[in-house]
Amino acid sequence: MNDRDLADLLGDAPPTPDPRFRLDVLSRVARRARQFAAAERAVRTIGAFTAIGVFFPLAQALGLTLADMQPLFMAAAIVGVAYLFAKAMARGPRGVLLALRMR
Amino acid sequence: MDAAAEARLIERARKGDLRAFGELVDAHQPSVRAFLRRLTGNAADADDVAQEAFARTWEVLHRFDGASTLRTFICGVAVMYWRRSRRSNTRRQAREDAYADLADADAEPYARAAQRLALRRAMDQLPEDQRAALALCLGQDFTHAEAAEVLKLPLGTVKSHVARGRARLRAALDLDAENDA
Repeated sequence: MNDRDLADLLGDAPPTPDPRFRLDVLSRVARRARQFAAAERAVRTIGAFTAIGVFFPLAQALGLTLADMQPLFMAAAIVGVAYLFAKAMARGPRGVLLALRMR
Repeated sequence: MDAAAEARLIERARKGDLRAFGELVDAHQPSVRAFLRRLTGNAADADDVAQEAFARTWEVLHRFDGASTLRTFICGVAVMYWRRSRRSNTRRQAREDAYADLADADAEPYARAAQRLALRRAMDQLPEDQRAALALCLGQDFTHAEAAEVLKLPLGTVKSHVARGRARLRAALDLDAENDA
């Protein structure tokens, strides 16, 4: 009995081509990509809400009142709306329509 | 598949072309799956590790620098996953392997099933690195240098692992005694 026979006894090479295996791999790739994207979104959301939560106690500790911060809120709101508008423009009308249809 | 065609597919896969990656999977799955089957002794577990390894390869393909072959690179990822799954599933795997061995043994001639079980037991008793080196090199699918690259071990160590492992397997089947007689 030679090495090849020993190797075959331990485990044969699978029959090829095996499209099912390729499909399983590709579906795993897609699943992992979705998981990474979801984890990234979760981290971003947690980060944003943590920053908002930390901002108000810090501002209060620094002696800033809501009236003092009003210009800052206005600027933040304008920047936020401009960001959303720019994002929609970058995606184009088809992207916006697609996003609406996906909901 | 020649090296130039493979390089082109790798380049396309790096740019996000899943079809090109699918072709790479087709090209390398026989050797990767055969290696893992020898290593784990269980086709289902081997395919599970192989699929994880290919999926991870897609994510880290940008790290592949072409210094080794892609097959070696994928097997390196596969060995990492095998070690990880082994640590977490040792007991479960032992139980399922024993069951799979029994199930497979029913479908093949007794003498061959007995040989396969004896080999499996001998293989399971080998240290982790030695088992992996043997699974890579035994069927001459991989050279010693490629196995050293996959396992991140010195070439001499791989050679001695393979020689000693082969002797243990042959002893488990009493082959050397038969040859001497």
